[in-house]
This record gives sequence, C-alpha cells and structure tokens, in this order.
Amino acid sequence: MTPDTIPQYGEAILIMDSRSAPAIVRSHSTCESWNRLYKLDNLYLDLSLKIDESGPLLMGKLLTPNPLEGRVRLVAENQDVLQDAELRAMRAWHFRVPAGGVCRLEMHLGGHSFVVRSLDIP
Amino acid sequence: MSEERLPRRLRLPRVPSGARANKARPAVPAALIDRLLKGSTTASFELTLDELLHELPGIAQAFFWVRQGPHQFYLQAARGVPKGSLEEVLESSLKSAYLGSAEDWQGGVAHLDNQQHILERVLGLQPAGLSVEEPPANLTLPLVADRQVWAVLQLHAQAQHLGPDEAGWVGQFVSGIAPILREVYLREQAERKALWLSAINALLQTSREQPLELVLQDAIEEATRLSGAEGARLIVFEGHAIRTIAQAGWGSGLVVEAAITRQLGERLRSGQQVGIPRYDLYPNRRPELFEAGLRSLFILPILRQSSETSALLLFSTQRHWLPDAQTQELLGDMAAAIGVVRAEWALRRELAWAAYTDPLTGLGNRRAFERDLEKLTARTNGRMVVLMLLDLDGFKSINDTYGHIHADHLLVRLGGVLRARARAGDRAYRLGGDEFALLIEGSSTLDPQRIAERYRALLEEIRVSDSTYLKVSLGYAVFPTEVTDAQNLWRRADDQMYKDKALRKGRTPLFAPVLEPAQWGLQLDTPLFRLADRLAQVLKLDWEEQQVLQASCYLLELALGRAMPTTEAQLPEALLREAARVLMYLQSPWDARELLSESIPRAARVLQVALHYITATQPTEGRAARSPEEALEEIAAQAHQRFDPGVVEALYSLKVWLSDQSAA
Repeated sequence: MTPDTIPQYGEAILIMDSRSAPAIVRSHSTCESWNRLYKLDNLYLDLSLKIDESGPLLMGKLLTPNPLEGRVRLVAENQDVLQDAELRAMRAWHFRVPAGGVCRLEMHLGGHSFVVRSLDIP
Repeated sequence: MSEERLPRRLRLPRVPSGARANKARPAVPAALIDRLLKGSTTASFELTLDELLHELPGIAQAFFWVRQGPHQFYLQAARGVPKGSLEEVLESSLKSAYLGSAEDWQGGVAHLDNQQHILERVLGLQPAGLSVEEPPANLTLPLVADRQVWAVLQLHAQAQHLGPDEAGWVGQFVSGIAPILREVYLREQAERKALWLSAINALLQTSREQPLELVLQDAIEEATRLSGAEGARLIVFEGHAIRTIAQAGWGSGLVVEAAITRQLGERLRSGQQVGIPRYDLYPNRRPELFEAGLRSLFILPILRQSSETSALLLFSTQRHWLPDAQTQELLGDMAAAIGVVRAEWALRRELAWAAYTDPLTGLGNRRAFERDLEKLTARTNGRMVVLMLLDLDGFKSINDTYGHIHADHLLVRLGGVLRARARAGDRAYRLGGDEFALLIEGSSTLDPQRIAERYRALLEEIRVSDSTYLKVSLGYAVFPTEVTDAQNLWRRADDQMYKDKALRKGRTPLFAPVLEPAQWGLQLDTPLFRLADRLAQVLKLDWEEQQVLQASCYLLELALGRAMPTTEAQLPEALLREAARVLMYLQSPWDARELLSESIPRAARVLQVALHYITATQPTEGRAARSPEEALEEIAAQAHQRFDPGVVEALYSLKVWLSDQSAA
C-alpha cells in the first residue's frame, strides 16, 4: 500500500503500556516483551508481544461484548502485508512477526477501519 | 524563490533540488548563537524555527523532532500546529515519511517532495486543526551526529513557497546551527542526568540515623520534581493489599494507589513497568480518581531479594504524561536505589533486633536494657523513670521438676504477656535466666507501687502446672526522685527486689546491707559443732549455708547448755532469724515439701543428722552410749524417711574420722 492510498482509519489510542522495567531488564536480562491496551471507538484491543524460541509473536484480542467480525492485517514499513487473518470479537489471534522492525496493524470491522501504528518489534 | 526574494540577512548559496547540502556552513550571527546557547533545548529549537519562519514566511508548518530513545523521537518544537496535538513518534515512522533513500537519511540529506502532508505520512492521518497547503511541498531534513539521526526538521508549505532554492537555503542555515542545537541538547541531557544522579547519590548517602520514612519521602519528592510528574507514591504490596510508605505532590488526600488493579499488581510483581497515558479511558478506572483529575500514571516496580515487591507510582492530571526514555531509565536507577536503601534499612533493623533482643522471649536483652537505661537517665526533661526488676520465685525448682523445655515455655509465655499487655510506652527486658526488668517513663503523677502490683498480678496469672502459678518478686526505684544516676537506680531496684523476695519467703535477706557475709563467723569446740562443720565441708555447702549452720549450731548448743553466750559470737539479726528457722525444722522429716510450703533448708538437714549422731554416741539416762558404727547404722536405717540420704552418705564418708573422735 502506498502512502497516498491509505484509507481513513480510526486511530487506536494507547491506554496502557506494560513492559519489563529498565532496571529489571538490566539486572535480569528479561526479554523485551510488552503488553498494550488500545481503545478503538467503543472497543478495546488487548495486544501483546512475546518472544519465544521461534521469534517474536504478536497476539491480540478484541474486547467487546458485541459479535463483531472482520479482518486484521499486519503491514510492514515498506507497506507489504505480512499477515492477514480473520478477526472476531473476544477471540484471540496471533501473528509471527519479523524481528527488529516496526509494523502497523490494520483492522477492518464492518464499515470501520482502525490502525495501530508504530508497533516496535525487538 | 528568486534571488531577489531571499532573506536579506541570510543570503546563502543555493543548492539544487535533492542535492546534498553545501559543506560550507553559512555564518550564523553571533547574537543568534548567544541566544541559542543561553536557552533550553525547547527554547533553542523554537528559536531556530522562528528564525526560519521569519526568513521564509511562506512556511505553513514546521516541526522539530528530537531523539529521546533508541527508537523514539519527541516533538521538541513546532510552529503552525495546535500545541499538544503531537508528542512522540517512532524513528521508523519518520524514516518512512522521508521519501529519500536510506543512505540519504543516514547521511543527513534534505529531501523535498510534493506529496501529501508530511504528517499524514508520519502518522497515517492528518492531525485535527492542521491546514494542508495546495499544491503541497514538504521538506525533511535529518540532522546526523555520531552516525545517528538525532533530530529531524520537517517543513510544510505551498509548493510556491518551498522550492529547491528555499530547501537549499534551509539546509545550509540548519547545518550552521545544528552543532549549537546539538550542544544545547547534550548539555540539557547531561544536566538532567546530573540532577538525577545527585538525587540518587543523596539518597544513598543519607545518614542511617534518619528515619527511613523521611529519607524515602525526600527521594520521591525529588523523583516527582525531576520527572515532571505532579505526584508520587512509594507503595508496598502486602498480599493483595497495598500500603503507602511515602507520598509527594498532588493528590495527598486521594488513594491514588487504588488505581492499581489486581492485574496491574501482577504485572508489577513480575517486573513489568506500566504506563497509562489515558487513565480517563482506562476500562478499570476508579471514578473518584478520574473525577479528582487523575489522567496519567506511570508505575515502576522495585523488586527486592525477598518476595516483597514495592513500586514507585508517578502520576499527573495531564493526559499523555509519561516520563521520556531517559527519565524512565533514571527513574529505574532511582527505584533501584530506593530498593537498596530499604533493603539496607531492613537488614540494619534485623541486626539491631538480633543485637538487642532476647531470642527466647522477644523482649529486649540486657544490652538493650543497659542502653535504654543510660539513655533515659541521661535526660533532664523532668520526667520520672521507674526501673522495675522482676525475679521469678523458685524458678530453679520449676526447671528441676518440669524440665528445661517446660521452663523455657514459661519464659516464652511471660515474654508474650509482657509484650502484649505492657502499658503503652513501657519497655520490658530479660536480663538473663529468670530476671526481668521494666523501664517505665512518666510524669511525676506516676504511681510505681500500683504499676508494680499490676505487673506482678499479670505475671502471676501464668500457670506453671494445674495447681500452681508463677510467683514473682519485684523491686523498683525511681529516677530522679530517689536516685540520680543509672547505676544507683539499678542497685536500689535490685535491693528492693531482693527484700521483696525475702519477705515473700517469710524472711528477710540473709545479709542485710549493713552486714557483709564475711563479717560473721564462729568456731565452737563442741562435738556437734565439729561434726556439723565436717559435714558442711563434705557436702560443699556454700558460705551462706555454712553461716546458717554455724549459727543454728551455736543456738542449739546454747539451748542445751553446752556453750556459753559470747559477745564475739553476736549474731546479726537476719542470721539469727534464719538460724531459728533451721531449728524449727529440726524434728521434721527431711523432705517435707508436701507438708510445708517450701523445702527444708540444707543446714537443717545437716543439723538433723549431726544432732542425732552426737546424741546417739553420748550416754543418756537409762541408755549407754552407742558406738559410732551402731549410731551410723541407726541413722542409715532412717535415711529417706527421716534423714536426707545425701547427708547420711556424707556422714558415712566420715566413718574413720568419727571413730578417731570417739576414741579421743
């Protein structure tokens, strides 16, 4: 996707960010996983990144009591679509992601589109 | 831009579109350098933008992003946009919005394009309230130092106001100013770091005599100030409860720590830091905190070696307040220092506890008692100090009868009673064995006698067996009304305690202060006296018992007319009473504890055997004198029933001596 074809997305608002504390990381070499909570209109998105032996794993879940369906996709800096999956409310999904990059997550739910930018992958 | 339209003050060589910036830097006016160097980072960057916009008034918007972490940039200065609408972006976002090559980005090459608004490329949407010039022109200029892009300038304007000439001029102008901006930026970073390190150093250097709460209070006040937060808490997790141990800044009347839900608590315990930039949107927000104005939180865990977790909680009434990357790192150092100080204090407290606590009873030990006694009697605040000494009656026999474990258990219970039921402020100590002390401070209206009896009653509620209870002798002395120094206070209380013990046994002390033990002694040359003396030696009676034995022998011989009163043998009153008491037991069975409230003194048991032997070996009316052997057999036959078998055994050991005495 080129910059001039980016549709009008609702911007995900970061509500909470949780990650290994710097002092703890320095003393315990804890991996740089993180967990974030975003607000998309009246929905919440719980997003976390874990690093296991196969590399970084992005996991998400749309938190809403409404039975929503749609698609979620992971887009690289160069606009390549890295992953694409079905999206359902309250159902977890996960993507393997390339290490050491920055991606964005696009979600299409009914007539609405949301984007989570600047997902830093250690 | 034509040559004529170029700023008068800054006529610089032109650079072709997309070309590398001219290496020759234009001269920056000295006054501008001076102003840049005097300002803060923000002021310097804003001044730079102002200069640019002043010289190029067609620029609609200008942004200066500055690196604040490995991957993040912070909007340090902006013009033409609503304040606060932008804050942070990732480097990758800036890089992807730059339409030049990766090499150009890394090389600090300015790039001019006529695509959509630069911020739309950076953020993916057009920020609200931002005007878009048509046809658009965007200029992006990365500033590079130490092979790293450390700042990025972005300009947006109508294409007619931002062409290759203007881009070239901007490139040269900024390249001249960039070293100064860099200097200001590094200086400010270093200053911030120095302030943090100074605060951390002050925390670590704090005198260990200061209360820990005050030390931590100072530390979090500094953390609040330096991080730009509005308030802070230092909290400790105790199970599912949270306890605040220090607080600073805004919200002193608010339970801000209630914002930490159970899930957040679990994250913190696992070593995760938590940032909540929009508490107003947080699903589990506490309404009272939101209504009070809480908008953002940052929580940093402090893990200790033990299972305890504490955390530093910083917060603000501003949305999106979170410490930047450098501050987070320094906060981490501060949190670690707080952890170290708390651990050190805890260790010192444990050591002090061990050094000043009796491990069996949990009361203060003798060292603590001496320390506190000195401290209290060194004061001249007019307050009264009562030293109360307590001694358990017959504790040795409890030990002998029930064993050490039971006796220790009694001491533990006694310690528990004193710790739980002592008056507020009274301090209790175990001085050793079954000796205890209380230090009681109060006004001149204090009634020591009443307090003493209350303590005695408390302790005498402790059951030794089904039918017996602890018995306590006690004595007290009052500072400064009775004595004026610690040593005499102790001595006087000890004397009083000793008198009380003697009174409770129905007797007065053997050695009243007016008579030293060594001051009385007597040798009578009678068979009874000699035998009693020998038995005392064999049985290794202590000096006090020997004196009682001699005194009772003397009284007995006086009564039997076998000795005459002498002024040399004048008995001290206390010894006289004790000797009379021995004589009272002369005809009792030696082990009469069940009949009497106490056991017969050893002197009486010795005298029983000696008197019987002497009487048996002397002729009386109607009976011939028995031989030593016959007398011994007669006595042996009554051992256990009438005579103490130990004394009988001692008598048998003197068989040869007894025969010699008989022959003589």
